[in-house]
Amino acid sequence: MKLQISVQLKPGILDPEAREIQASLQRLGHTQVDTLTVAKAYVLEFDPKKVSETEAWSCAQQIAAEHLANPVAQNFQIDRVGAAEEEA
Amino acid sequence: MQQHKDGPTVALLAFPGSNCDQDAQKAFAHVFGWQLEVVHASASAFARRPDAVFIPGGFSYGDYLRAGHLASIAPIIPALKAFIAEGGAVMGVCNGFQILTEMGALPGALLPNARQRFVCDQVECLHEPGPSSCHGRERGQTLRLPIAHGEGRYYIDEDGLAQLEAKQQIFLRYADNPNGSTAAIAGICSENGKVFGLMPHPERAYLEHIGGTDGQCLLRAFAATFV
Repeated sequence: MKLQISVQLKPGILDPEAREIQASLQRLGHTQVDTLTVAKAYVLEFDPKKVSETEAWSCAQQIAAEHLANPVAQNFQIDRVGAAEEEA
Repeated sequence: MQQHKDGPTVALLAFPGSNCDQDAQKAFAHVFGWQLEVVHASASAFARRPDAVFIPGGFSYGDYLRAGHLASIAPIIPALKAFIAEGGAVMGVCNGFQILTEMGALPGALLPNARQRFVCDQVECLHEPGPSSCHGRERGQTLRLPIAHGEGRYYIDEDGLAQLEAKQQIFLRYADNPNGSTAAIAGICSENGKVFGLMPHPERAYLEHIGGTDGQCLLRAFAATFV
């Protein structure tokens, strides 16, 4: 199974990259976009024969909280990805 | 490397990607006559207890993940944490400052510069008055120091900033904030005044012919905490 950890700056902290991307898109006419946020994604793959789903989630949670995100300035979110291809 | 017989033992932490280690060695040799003792990040302990630790700048572990994070979980770090917990004196410059915040030895975080550019310049900094020796004898003076960083925007939330201000932990601010740091912060110290982190490079500002000697007072202020 695959778990994706997305890390992004907390709201209110200036992200110049996001600001510039949004400004450029607005200049091209994409004015419908209210807010654009840049996130960095890490995908962890677990072998279901060796690791239970609960263990995988708890491992991802720990890695995200302790390493991938800096709690001072960043938030993170974990999502399961690729479930459809696993079933296929 | 031979230790100067009368000098203190100052450990120089070298990570894969550190690139200011030789600057630091030359600066400490010139200013104090001390030879720094190089300790590699892969060591699990200090060969002998140092009197102080200097963490130089560079791009440890390629700045992967976040600048300083992978260094903050290197094998030597538990020994460094123990040294700090015992009240040991540490100065981290540039990437060294990033490592100290990532390992939780100093509050806040260093984010990519607000203008999204690597900044390499000589900048005016204000040496702030405060209780710790890191504030130096000549308080309130302006220092001209080199900076060279892409992730030097010091960030701390309002409560954290209020605490830093109340405890007078900010010892260096930029005159013209070049990277968008909270409250123009260029350098902070720990509550006990023993752990210093700063983005400007005092170890590159100790000789007139390399751009000035204003870094010397910061190195001397650091040395005053353990000599």
